[in-house]
Amino acid sequence: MKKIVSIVMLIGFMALLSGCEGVREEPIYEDLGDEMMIGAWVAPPPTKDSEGNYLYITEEHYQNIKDSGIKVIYGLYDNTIPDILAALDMAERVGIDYYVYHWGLRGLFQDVFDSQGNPIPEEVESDFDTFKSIVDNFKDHKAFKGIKIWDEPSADLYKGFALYKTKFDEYLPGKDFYINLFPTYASIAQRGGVDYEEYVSQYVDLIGMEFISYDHYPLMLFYEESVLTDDYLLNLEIIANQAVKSNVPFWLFIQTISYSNITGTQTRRPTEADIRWQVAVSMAYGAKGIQHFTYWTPIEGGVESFTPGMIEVDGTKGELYEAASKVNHEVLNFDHVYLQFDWKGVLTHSADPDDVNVNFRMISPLESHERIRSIESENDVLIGTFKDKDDNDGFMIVNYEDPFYGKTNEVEIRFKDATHAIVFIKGEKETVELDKGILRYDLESGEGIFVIPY
Amino acid sequence: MKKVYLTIVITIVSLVLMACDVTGGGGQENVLRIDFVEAGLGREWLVQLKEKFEAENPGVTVKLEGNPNMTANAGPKIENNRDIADIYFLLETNWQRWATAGYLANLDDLYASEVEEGLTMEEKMVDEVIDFGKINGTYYAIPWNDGVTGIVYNAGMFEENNWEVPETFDELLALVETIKEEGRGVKPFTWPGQYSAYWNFVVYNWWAQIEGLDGMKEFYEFGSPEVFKQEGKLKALQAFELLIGDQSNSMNGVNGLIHTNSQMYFINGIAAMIPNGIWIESEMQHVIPEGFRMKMMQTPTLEGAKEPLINNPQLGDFIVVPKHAKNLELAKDFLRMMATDEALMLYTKLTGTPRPFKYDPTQIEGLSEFVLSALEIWKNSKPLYAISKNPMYFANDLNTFPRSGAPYGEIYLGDTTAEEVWQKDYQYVVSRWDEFLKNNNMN
Repeated sequence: MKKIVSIVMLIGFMALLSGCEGVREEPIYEDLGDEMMIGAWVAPPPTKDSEGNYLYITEEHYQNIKDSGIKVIYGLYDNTIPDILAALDMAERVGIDYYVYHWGLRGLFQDVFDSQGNPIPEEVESDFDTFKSIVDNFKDHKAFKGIKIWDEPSADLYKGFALYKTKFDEYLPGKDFYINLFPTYASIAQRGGVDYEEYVSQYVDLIGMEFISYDHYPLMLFYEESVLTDDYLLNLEIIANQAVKSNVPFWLFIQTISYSNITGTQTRRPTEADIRWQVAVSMAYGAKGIQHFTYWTPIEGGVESFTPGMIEVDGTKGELYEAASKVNHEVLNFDHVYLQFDWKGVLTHSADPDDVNVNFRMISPLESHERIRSIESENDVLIGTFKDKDDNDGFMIVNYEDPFYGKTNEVEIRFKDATHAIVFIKGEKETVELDKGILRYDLESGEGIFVIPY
Repeated sequence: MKKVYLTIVITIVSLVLMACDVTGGGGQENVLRIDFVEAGLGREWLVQLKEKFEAENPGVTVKLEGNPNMTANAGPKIENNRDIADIYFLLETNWQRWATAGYLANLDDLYASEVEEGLTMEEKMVDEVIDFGKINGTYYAIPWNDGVTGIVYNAGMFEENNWEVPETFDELLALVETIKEEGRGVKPFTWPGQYSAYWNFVVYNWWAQIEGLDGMKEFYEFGSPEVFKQEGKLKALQAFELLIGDQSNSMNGVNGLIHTNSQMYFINGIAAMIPNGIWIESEMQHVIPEGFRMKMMQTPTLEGAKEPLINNPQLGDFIVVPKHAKNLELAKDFLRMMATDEALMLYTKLTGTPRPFKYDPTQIEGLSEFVLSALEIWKNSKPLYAISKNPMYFANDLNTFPRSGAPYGEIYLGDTTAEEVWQKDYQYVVSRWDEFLKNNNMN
């Protein structure tokens, strides 16, 4: 009896340690044509020279957008019909898409309800006529991808949006009805009195949105010191969970500019590492789209002021143009692989268990993963976990240290049941042989790698 | 032997399973967690109060988490009950919404409890702020910092040039001319054009001087659009227009300055005066040149003032306890301790900032000349607490300048006049009054 117990335990012990079921073959990922959505806020403005020619809505400037890897540029100052048409022409010429912004389309279908909340047919028709009279100018344009309906709405507006979207889909099938949500740090009043999860779920369920878009700018600056928002991951978690629940993709904004406002809020000017880090963290949560805030530097801040973005106010390329372009192309190099995986949750690993990162404390990560035996790291690590249709696991492993401080991160992950791994580093594929299932990598500041062990 | 094997296996399994650590946040018993905005006031005040509380409560540990962005961070934590603290010390934000949404603990028993010598917390508090933390008859918040705001001046420069500190507005106008004549290039004022609401620290005082505190209370009740026709508001704006509408009274380029830039110009002697608050000294402590001296002046009085001595403390910073705090009673004990004379004096000594309780911080030894000048104003003035409980105010439909926000930059540039601002605010509110009532279910 003793022997039997010993053998059973020994087998269990060995199985636990090795998890070995034989060597798997390297999975192959054909390019199925799916691409990450890469958008950007603020298209070239409609400034004209003394002879009435556009200074910035030009082929050269739109080619710059295309070259940066941006697929969709969002109108803002170009909000009259002639400006919109000029922008659409340039977008088509270089082969990118364009989101229209027109003031006349913004508040439609909000004041069309009676005191019982029922739509008043004449009011609805009147707004629909207004809508058609504006969109008829550009609806058949090849570069027209959709309309920016609202940025950061209160939930009070959702009922009107739901009606708007019904009419929109009826008239513009296949086009995007674009609404971008507030971050978790917006006040309850800004959200219309609902909690954040409800704010997001109603956006999908009431309006019938086919994607979730939101913004959250994590890189703050206080007295010349960088501080990350505590709720950056919480926001991603709420959005990613809703996206899974509703089976829709989500996109989020990447802070590619610094701004400050009269309340004293100040974000810091991002670096290439900051942009790469935000993108990697977003992908660790399964983001299917990234959107740069901003492409062109906003001309007037109003209550906000800005430092130069990817393109400065006078049209010159800033250093952030090169940085964001580089990161965009890194993503586009392996998005055909990444997009074949479904997101399953995140793991966190604290280098110092007695001083857990506050971002990690605010989320509900997975407790473990069947393919990971152990994780060791010099600094904090965030790991997005994924599965493809053939049951292969994918992991987005991110150096979760504020890139402001430039910390590298030596990470050692011991996988079960793996002798090799495909590793995408800055978009480039490497195949690595694993010694006893161990992958070691020294992550740069802001870096994330996508790993497929086999 | 079986047992040995079993133990080994269990140990290994446990170790393997533990390899991925996930540590949750949240409170622990007898560990009072305090999250606070760690900015201009630093953390030494809270470290000392923590030590005092731990000494008085054996077995209790106070854990401090400071972050300059804590006001923004607290919302998602409190609203989502994630990584929640027992007490939050935060800067002005719309905590009233947290109260009405049910996220905050009821503090009625704390307000009614004895703090010291037969005085309840409510009785110990400055009378004018007792209602600060109350929503629908229940206490949910405690005011954190009181303040002193107004015009700060370069005391050394004033003394060297024999410039008298003005007591009336006319004397201030005369002083400005004297500075321009005798100041060898020194400008009378610098101020942050990017955050021009710093002029509220002066303009509100003038307004309250004319209307009196009852008039200001009536204004912030927002009972009807007619409050926007108060004469005091117009006179205060006109005084500002006379003083700052003349661009030669400010240093060049003020419109582009943020607060720290304008403060740098002030402490380096480019301008003689700046609208500011009691916090300026601690905010600039690391860059104040040796020998630089500053003081705060009582806001010069406008002609026809009902209440000549007014201080606008800019009350807004607050303390709350989340409803789901793990250590609710300990949190209340800590806040009760903070309202004792000993703790209040310690707080002001370490921060240079008063709290809105009945005590005399001017008796503290070792205060700087600047802080003492500000505390004298705090002690001798009537406090103007611009507190509104009107839902239209919480919803941001109504505020002091509802049409366009603080109008000072536009008046300085000559883009508008004091009279236009006053008239247009009134017209704006009249035309939208029904909509505001409807928005806030006040029909």
